[in-house]
Amino acid sequence: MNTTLSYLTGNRKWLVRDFVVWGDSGSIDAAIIATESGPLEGRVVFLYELAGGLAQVVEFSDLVDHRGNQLPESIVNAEIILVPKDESHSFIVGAVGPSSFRIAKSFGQPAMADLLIMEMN
Amino acid sequence: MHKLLSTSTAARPTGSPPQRRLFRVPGGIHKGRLAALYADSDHSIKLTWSDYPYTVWPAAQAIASDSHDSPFSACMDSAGNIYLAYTDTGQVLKMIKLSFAGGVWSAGAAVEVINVDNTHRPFILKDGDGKLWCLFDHHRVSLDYRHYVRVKSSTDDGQTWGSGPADLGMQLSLAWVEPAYVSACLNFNKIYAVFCVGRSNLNMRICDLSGPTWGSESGIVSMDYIDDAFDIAPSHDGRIGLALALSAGSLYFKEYDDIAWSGLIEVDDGSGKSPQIVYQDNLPHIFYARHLGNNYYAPRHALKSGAEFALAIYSPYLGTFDKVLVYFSAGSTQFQDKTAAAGNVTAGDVFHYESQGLLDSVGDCVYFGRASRFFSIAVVLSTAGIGGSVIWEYFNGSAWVEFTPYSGAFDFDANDSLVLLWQDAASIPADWQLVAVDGYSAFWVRARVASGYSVNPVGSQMTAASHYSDFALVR
Repeated sequence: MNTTLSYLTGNRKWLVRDFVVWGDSGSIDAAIIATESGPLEGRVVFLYELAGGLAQVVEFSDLVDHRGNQLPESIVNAEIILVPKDESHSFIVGAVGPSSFRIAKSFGQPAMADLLIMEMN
Repeated sequence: MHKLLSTSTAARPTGSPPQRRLFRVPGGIHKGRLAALYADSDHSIKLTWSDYPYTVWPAAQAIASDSHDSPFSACMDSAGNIYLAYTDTGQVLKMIKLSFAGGVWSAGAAVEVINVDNTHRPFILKDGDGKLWCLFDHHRVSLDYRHYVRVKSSTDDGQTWGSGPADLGMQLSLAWVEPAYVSACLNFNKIYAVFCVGRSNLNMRICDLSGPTWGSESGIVSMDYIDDAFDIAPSHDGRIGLALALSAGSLYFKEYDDIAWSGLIEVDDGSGKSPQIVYQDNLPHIFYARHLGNNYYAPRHALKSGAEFALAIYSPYLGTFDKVLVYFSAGSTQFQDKTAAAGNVTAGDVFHYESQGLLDSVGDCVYFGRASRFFSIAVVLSTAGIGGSVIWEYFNGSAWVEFTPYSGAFDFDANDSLVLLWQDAASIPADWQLVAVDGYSAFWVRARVASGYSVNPVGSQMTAASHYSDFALVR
């Protein structure tokens, strides 16, 4: 794809208003490699789970923007800006994936924020 | 997630708990990418990586082909460069820098760190000033045949260590007959080196990097036996956490506040191994392999809550079964609940009381159920079946679907077998559905007798577990 067409088809933006953040910051996305021993050879396995608290993983396709449009299933190089709507501090945890991201509040009751999601392409 | 990355013929493919093998790129456009190093064979080390959500891992690239079949370690700097420290086949300690650029790691030439006598189990880290430190077990086979913990450093990005490979570096421990195991971490302007010597003694030395000046050796704990079953991690508020597992069983935690060590806190009174510790919001999280019995393990997670630790299942795919049912088609009571018997280690207690077997005749079944999907069944029998065969099935929402386990046909004809139903959790059939069996809704797998047994199998323990060891937590 040429750069002009790429530019025009990219750089999409969505505003998701009044998003409720309930994920706990104390939770940890724990990635582990481990060995599963066998009689002749070992198996190197990758384990990945969220541990220690409520983890809030958000799929883009589950979001609706301020115009009522459902977001696409995948967004290329998404960047997310959080605009807090109350005193609670909320933030994106780890990397933003092509189809989902993880969000958390720092303490206390669920927080509310607007999400500005931008496709950087 | 549970995903098979590779098979390996190395003695310890994912290394030793105090060492580091898995890293997360801390910044830049590849922020969040994971890089995993593992021993592919008894002489080779490979690297593979994946971006979030970590479902796709490209073919691994060879990094070293002259490695000794013993654990190695690595570290990642803020730019994503990886520094690998390993022992070569001549038991010379070497370092390779894997430069990260354009989303690719490129291995440089190996540099000798020390080439005097034998070295093993290195630990490498990079401080805030860009200085590399390598700690290792130095086995003085030409002198006294004793093991010493030593440290060497490099100020030129690993090109020169001390005054050269013949330089022994600084001795951190006394001489010991038994192998030494070392870990280290940075916190503010200090390096904390914790090492196990004499199998049972965990000692510490602290280096003030403003000198740098190493303080004297101090004891942390002495218990039989620790060896390499320990790990350390710093908290953001200046504490050092230590998790250790004894060969006899229990898992413990201690914490250093830069003045003194806390008392010993029991994390899990059951048997655990391969602890990994990390702090999040200044709370210690410990990940470890929990012994379920008969040398089968499942990963667990412990989070400090008040004065104690709260224990939790780490992987939804692994653990004991929520329900195990034996079905005897000719019985007056066809289903019997053997969940508790299947979860414990009591020999010969999993059988139908009318058939006196786990399975007997055509149509008899044993059902394994969990609230979440699973991919393995560790089967320990007190009596192996003779003469019979079974068909393995799962429920797809409308019918029972026959399949052959990934590890091959298994007819309950061996006393100790790990049945891999599928290659890994990522390979579990997408159409596997919940269904109620004897009134209990679960994800069920059943083994149904296709030809009857002349000697009925009798079970001792059946769990969704495996032979886990050598966890390496992301850093």
